[in-house]
Amino acid sequence: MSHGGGGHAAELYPENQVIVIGAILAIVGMYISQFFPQVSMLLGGLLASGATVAGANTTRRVAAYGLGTGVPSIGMVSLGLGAISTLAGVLLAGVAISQFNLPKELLYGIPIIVTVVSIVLGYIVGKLTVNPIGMKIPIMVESMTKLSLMGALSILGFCAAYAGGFYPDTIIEGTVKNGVIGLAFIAAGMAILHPFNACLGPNESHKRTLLLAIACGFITWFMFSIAKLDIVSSVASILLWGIVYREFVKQSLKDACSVLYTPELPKKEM
Amino acid sequence: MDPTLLVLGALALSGAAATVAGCAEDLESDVGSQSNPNSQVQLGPQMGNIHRYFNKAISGEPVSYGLYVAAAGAVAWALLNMGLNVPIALIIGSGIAAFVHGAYSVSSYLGRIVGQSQNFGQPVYMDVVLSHLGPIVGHGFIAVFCMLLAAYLATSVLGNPFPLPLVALIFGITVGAIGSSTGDVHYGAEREYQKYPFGGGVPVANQGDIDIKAEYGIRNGMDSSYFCSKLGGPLTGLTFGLIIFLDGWRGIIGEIVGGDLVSKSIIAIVVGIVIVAIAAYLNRMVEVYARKKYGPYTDR
Amino acid sequence: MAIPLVEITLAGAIINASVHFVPVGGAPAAMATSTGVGTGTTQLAAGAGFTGLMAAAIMASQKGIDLSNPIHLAIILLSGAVGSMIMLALTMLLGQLIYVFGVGVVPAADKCEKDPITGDYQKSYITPGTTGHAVPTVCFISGLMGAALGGIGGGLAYIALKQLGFTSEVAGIIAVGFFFMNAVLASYNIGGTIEGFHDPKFKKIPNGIIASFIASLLTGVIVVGMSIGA
Repeated sequence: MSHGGGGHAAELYPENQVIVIGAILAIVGMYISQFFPQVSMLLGGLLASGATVAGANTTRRVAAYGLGTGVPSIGMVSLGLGAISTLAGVLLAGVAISQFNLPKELLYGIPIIVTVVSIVLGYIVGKLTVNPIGMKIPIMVESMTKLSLMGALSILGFCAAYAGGFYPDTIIEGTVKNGVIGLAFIAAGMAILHPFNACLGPNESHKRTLLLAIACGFITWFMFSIAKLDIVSSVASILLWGIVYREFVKQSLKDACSVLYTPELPKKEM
Repeated sequence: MDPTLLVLGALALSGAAATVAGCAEDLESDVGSQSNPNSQVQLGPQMGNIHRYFNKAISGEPVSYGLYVAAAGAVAWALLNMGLNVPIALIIGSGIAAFVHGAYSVSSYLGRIVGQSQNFGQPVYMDVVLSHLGPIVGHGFIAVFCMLLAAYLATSVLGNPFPLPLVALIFGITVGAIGSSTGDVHYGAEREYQKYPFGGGVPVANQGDIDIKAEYGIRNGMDSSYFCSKLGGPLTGLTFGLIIFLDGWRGIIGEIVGGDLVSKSIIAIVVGIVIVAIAAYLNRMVEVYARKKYGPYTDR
Repeated sequence: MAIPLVEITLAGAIINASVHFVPVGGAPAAMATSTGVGTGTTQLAAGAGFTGLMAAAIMASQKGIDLSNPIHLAIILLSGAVGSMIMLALTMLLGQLIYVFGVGVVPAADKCEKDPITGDYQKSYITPGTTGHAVPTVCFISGLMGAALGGIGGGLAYIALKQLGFTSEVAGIIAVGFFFMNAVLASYNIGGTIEGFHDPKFKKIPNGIIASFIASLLTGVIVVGMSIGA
């Protein structure tokens, strides 16, 4: 795919700021899901969308360089890494406890373990894309690291919200056995790669992309709420989604050169 | 009832569902202009072709269909566990997926069009958004429902060890991969460039010079779907239906002919290789036919 | 412990290699501007690989299959390979029908004078201004080899995960993530389009295999660590 994006439009917020905020929100969301399972979907799901927004923001930055294979590829690799690190983090904590007689409290550190594993995995795979594969994008390594992190945090965030906690048994029984983690994989992946993929072009603006990123995060939350048959969260998520999406549509129509409602082509200015 | 017969019936049903799904998927991607041919719609305004195509840049078809079918599968799975009966659960699941599909479609149209609107003077056509949304979501619903039915049959009757949402995800990715590699060619290489004479690829110099006139009036995505339903759509459906059916059928042949586990499996594998060999032979026949019929370029 | 680790590492390298064989032309091929199937590398490889993964998983879940029996392992891998090959063979064949009857082009490869398998001349059949179109025999055969490798790689990863004691569901989702990781690494290596084993880009295959080897080894170590408690 040849459309490599529209250069480097101005940023409303610095990327690292968005990353830190997104990561903190998602991790706080996981702890809320763990300690208050009654509201896991309502708050945990809401905060997990922070990770997808931050991931979408990073996608925007790296994909603007033109990857040669389209925007979706980097979203998919980040989610592939994310899925592996999520399961790794969740299961490794259990292994550490059973094998090395570590205290049970280590399980509370699962979000941190997932963070570390995903950063390591993302960094190494990012390095591999530069050498030996030879990608010529200067920010490739850091972007892969960030995307792997955001992929893992969004998968674990939504899974914890769905299952009501991030303990190994909860995650394995509640989201892996029934395959809901497959939805987390692809829905979070789309929320990360779609906003920039949809908005790219010479007139792309950070504001619209971010608005769409938030809307995509909320609709992912909505899908999980429905899949959990949680009526309160479903209503809350669809309302919030509606507000943000309306804002995105309004902003798009405002930024367009003209909005027409009839089938006519504008006269060519010669 | 004889279990083999039951499996054969389920296989036939899922093959049929897959055929419908493949066809609907391809026609949906033609109305909305998705996947690889969309790069030309994206390029159009830059080349001075202000168009009224929909611009549905929701990643590639495999990923987007993975999303819809997985979402439908997760919701349907939850409803089935609640004790709802199967058809209704599948329909509600597909309905949720259709809603998500619509939301993503509109956002990609607005995003992509506005993303190049100021520089190239491409207006946002709200009537295109509103009139195309129905066919896009409708075709998408049919495709998602049929895929979900095939996934449900795979997990409940055909012995697939994965849970429903995961099978749904994988089936969605497969249907998208097939739709974007077969039917889309008819849309991208022929329909978008109908003003050029039939019989030839699109030279790089002509890329982006898409047709903006229809048979009557200004072209939009629905005209394309009408055109592609004559060849691209049905062949896409046939591809996917054949894959699901033949892949399961070879297992059943092994089941009937073979004795123990090893001989059954080996027969299934041999039948599979025979199918592949036949496909390779047919491919060669088509190639030879085309070489004879169309001939080489002599004027250069 | 050691055998699954080796299997996962090999599986990653095989998946990466498989992507190099599949003839994909990306967006240009969808306009009949370049040879190959008109879709993205990762997407087609994933479609074929997952079909193979499912075929292998169905076979592995049959009653009486013993994962320590080499004959049974070979059967699972071959089932995966055949599943992928059927998927890709039919996709290429029906895609070919659309190219020939819907677009009206002659299948022709750009990266070789003569088709190495059939010996047909290619250059004079290519539309001027394009770099070939559709799926000539050499690409078809190359694609079949790629599909077989993809199915074997996906199946091998799945078997390794099962041998480590994971349930089908856990093994399935890890295998999907693992497949995507390696397929995308491969698609970055070839830069989006390739015609098959006769393409000069195919010579870059060692880089891809090394990258996947390292990434898969690392993943393998993590996965083996996870399995101790499972």
